[in-house]
Amino acid sequence: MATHVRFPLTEPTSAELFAAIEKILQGDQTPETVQHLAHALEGLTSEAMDFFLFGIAERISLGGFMMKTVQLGAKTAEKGFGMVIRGLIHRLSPEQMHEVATFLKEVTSP
Amino acid sequence: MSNDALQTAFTPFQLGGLTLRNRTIKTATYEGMCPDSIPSDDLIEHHRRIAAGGIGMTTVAYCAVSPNGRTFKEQMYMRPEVMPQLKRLTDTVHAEGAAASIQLGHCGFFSKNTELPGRRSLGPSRQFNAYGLFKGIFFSKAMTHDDIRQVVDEFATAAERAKACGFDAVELHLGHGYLLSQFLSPWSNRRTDEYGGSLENRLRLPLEVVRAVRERVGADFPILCKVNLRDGFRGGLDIDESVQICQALEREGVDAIVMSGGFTSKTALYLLRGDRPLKQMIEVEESWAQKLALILFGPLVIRKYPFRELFFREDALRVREAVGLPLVLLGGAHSAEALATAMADGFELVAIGRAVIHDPDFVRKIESGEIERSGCTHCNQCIAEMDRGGVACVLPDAPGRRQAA
Repeated sequence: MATHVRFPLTEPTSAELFAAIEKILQGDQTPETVQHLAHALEGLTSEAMDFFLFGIAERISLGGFMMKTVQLGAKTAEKGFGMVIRGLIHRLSPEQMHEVATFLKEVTSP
Repeated sequence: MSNDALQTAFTPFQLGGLTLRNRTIKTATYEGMCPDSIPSDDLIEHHRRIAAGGIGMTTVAYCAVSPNGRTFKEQMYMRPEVMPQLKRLTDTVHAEGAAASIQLGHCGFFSKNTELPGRRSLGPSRQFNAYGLFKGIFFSKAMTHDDIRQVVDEFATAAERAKACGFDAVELHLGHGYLLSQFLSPWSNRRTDEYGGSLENRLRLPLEVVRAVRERVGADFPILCKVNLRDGFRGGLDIDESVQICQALEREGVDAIVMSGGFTSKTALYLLRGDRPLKQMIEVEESWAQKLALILFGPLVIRKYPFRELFFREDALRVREAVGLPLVLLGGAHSAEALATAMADGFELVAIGRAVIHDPDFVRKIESGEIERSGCTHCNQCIAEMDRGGVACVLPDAPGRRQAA
């Protein structure tokens, strides 16, 4: 599924993301829902990396060694984003959480 | 508001040795028209159009004083190679009856310029640089005294070159969280030598820059300084210290102060107010990592500030009470009433940004009574246009909309 920001999300990730977003927009900000959103965002991050990094690497036919380097870099970046997501999301105020969810809905909706 | 006050805005004004045809200044807004860091013909046409629209003085934005003073590598920096094109620009603006100024600055730690030696930006103190994170510029280096001396000389040389290009004035950038602003701000300046600590010490470098520039450009050449009224976050510069900074600049002999606010790395939209064009910023962002970061954290990193006309007025009035030098009121002057209010308040000059981007003839139309108010909606999508070929209004009927090639 192509989104406003032009990278595709798989059906399971987008379903999980939209479900979490909808719950938050309806005022459900229980730890379970927030955890659910964090998980979906990690999925989004991983798929965005596949698209941006590996898509480009494949298009320019990177050799084996370079591809391994890209994979290593991507893993590190993915971990970094994941840490920030998990570290940040539990500290957001209800208003900030609502703002983030609204924006995510806007940019990831087809 | 009286018609007399409005008419004052269209009377000539003496700024140092320069006579402006009226009291309006196109404020420096990054144009995005310097591919390979060389001013393009589009940049000349952009300023010609604004000059033809009746502005008193137009300001070419965001010229770095050195290659290492660039925020990103496409930014123009003052050097002999760009001078012929800048001379063409000033000649073109003068032919339309307006004066031309150029904003000179240094980014300090706020850089994603991959051409920086050792990928280290410079700052008053060692500083984490989130903006350069995805370009490998993680931390700034605390400037040594040699670095400081070099930057002072770079500002002076750049100003001297600007004068040789035919510019009628220079605007030194002491605001928005760039290098000189980083020295002024207690948040970013954690030095323990004579350049840090007390306000007197934090002011030392900016004042040395002003002094060096004055020595090179002469007594009659107007020097404007853009300063922050507030950085816009807790721990940053506030209005009480800003008033003292303006008093110190007056003692140093600057010709006018442009009063602004905000710290680009922390409160990016504080200086603009209005809508937050996050989607457009994501679209034009070239770095995949920065794009992703904006999607995930954009609303948290880039805060929204509601727009109202003359949004810096209250703080600017504090400065007005404390200094006698000419002051430029900036921030949401989008109507005849706003111009009249600025004049009635005793500000000598008014800076206009988005209203002129929306319609380069804004000043002429206000003067003739053809319009009362700009059609700018403060959507701020013109910011994203900077990375799409040059700043322009996106509204369908805007006279300042980019024409299809």
